[in-house]
Amino acid sequence: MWDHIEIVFWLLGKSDNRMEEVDIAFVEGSVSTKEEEDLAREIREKAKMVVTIGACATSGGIQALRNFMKQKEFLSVYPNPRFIESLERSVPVGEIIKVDYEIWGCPVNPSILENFINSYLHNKRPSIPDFPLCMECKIKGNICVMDAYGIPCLGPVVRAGCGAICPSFKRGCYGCFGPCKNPNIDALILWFKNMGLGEEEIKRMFENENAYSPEFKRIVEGLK
Amino acid sequence: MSLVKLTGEEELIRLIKLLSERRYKLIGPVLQEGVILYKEVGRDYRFPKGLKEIQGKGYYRVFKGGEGYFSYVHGFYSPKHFLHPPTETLLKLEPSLKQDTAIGSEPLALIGIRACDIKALSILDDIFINRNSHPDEHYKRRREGIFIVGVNCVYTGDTCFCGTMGTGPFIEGGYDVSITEIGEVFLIRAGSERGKEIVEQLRGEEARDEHLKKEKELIEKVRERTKIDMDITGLHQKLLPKLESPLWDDIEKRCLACGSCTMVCPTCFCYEVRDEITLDGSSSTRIRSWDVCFREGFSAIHGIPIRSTIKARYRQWLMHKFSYWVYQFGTYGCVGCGRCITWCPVGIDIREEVKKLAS
Repeated sequence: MWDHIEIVFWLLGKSDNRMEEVDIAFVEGSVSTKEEEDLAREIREKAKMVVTIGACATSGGIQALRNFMKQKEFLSVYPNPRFIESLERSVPVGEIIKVDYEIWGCPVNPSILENFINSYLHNKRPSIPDFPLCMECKIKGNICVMDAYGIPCLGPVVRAGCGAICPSFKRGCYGCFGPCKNPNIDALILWFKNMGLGEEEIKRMFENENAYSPEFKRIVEGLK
Repeated sequence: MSLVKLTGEEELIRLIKLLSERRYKLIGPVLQEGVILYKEVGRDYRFPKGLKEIQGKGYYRVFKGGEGYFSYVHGFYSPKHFLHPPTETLLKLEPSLKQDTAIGSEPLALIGIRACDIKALSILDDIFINRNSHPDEHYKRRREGIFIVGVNCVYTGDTCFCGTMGTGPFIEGGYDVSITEIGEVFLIRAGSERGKEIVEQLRGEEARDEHLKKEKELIEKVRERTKIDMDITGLHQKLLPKLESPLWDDIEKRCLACGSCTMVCPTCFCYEVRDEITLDGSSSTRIRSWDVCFREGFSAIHGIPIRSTIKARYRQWLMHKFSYWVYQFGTYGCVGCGRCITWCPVGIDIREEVKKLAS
């Protein structure tokens, strides 16, 4: 791949970084500080295409769990909170600037990222799954953990793309790829209740790295 | 061809041996991680004995304590998994336009499949070959030379409704060898010349009327148990005026649109085809994977989905199975195997939905 692309700015990957005009900017991480907010705007100016990668950049990440509290409430744990310079909320990049594509996941599936770059190079539309994990899980031939083992699984409302890793190991999907397109979460919750899960337990299932996505947020706030 | 033999359990082992000697790739029911699945098996394969299945709405469990060899029905795998696999390579293409169509497989022997699945196989044949003006070479190649060992159901699951759909529990055709378990003995029947050649080599006596009578009794009992209170005569016409029924709104509240029902359905055949190009553009692989009408993008034309609500997608699926299919292929698209009920994560029961719509 390195023969076909040049990376000009990657703080974690190289020491010589230039912030210049680029074809694609892949943005990781949520926006939690004023500094990051400015950086996001600068990236938008320099990049023809902005793509968020990962749960943090796409839906706010695990740190967005603080958005469900008042900042005051948790600042009190620091001896000198005046040194904390964070925004009131930790937000997805898309809340600050226009984002062209979103690659979900915590972590993302490298093959989706690779497919994205490949598609761009061949002027093709990238294929980023937006459908429920169940479809991917069944294609893989996995045994449904809900039906056969009675394990609660978020697969029917969570975006495919990971390769159905957790159900392949007899665990329920816990939603690290975020909500699929138009998920019917209420129907799944109703079934969870039939299975004997309590409201608090159900709420906790959605309190993950994608809790701040609009679809999960509604559950986290609504079931309080 | 009307050869029926009465044999003991050791002949089941002999049957496997005869098939493996004829170089079939054997696929048979195997208990794996709590589910009975059709899997590739070796020449030492034995039918699992003493297993009992409990199937319900969104519920599947296997227990020890079945009475014989066939006191279960099936898990979520069907012959479709082998003839129209979840994902397969159709073509490899190079810049010289050299094509490699990657077809070719050793003949399969599907062992232990039930009447509903044998009917489903004939439906898939219609879709991919017989009623298709461009027969699917990949399906056709796998289908040719396939050997089918069917099992007549003397046990039924709680989600089975072949009795109503008229597809079972007795296998009427489309098989090479069939087995009926009658207590400690088995009736083994030849359904084709190839089947006859095998059955002739099994040890046993010619079945007598009393055996056939006993078989019929057992089968009829199952037929009654797999009947739901619904008449399917003209169902495809009865459903057509129900496109605007408020019942679809009710289904929309329950359906996840996760597509599990279509994936486990032995007749759902939709697929998508995509090209995967190497990064340097030097070659391309064309891959076919199952696709699902419950996916919003499935119905997209120029990027705009024409069935954007769950209700519209469920309606398309149910109406295709029980109505449009008849106009398209001349049979119902449902064989009453019950898999979509058992494997629906939220237990939606298509029997109840169709009944409500039709009444």
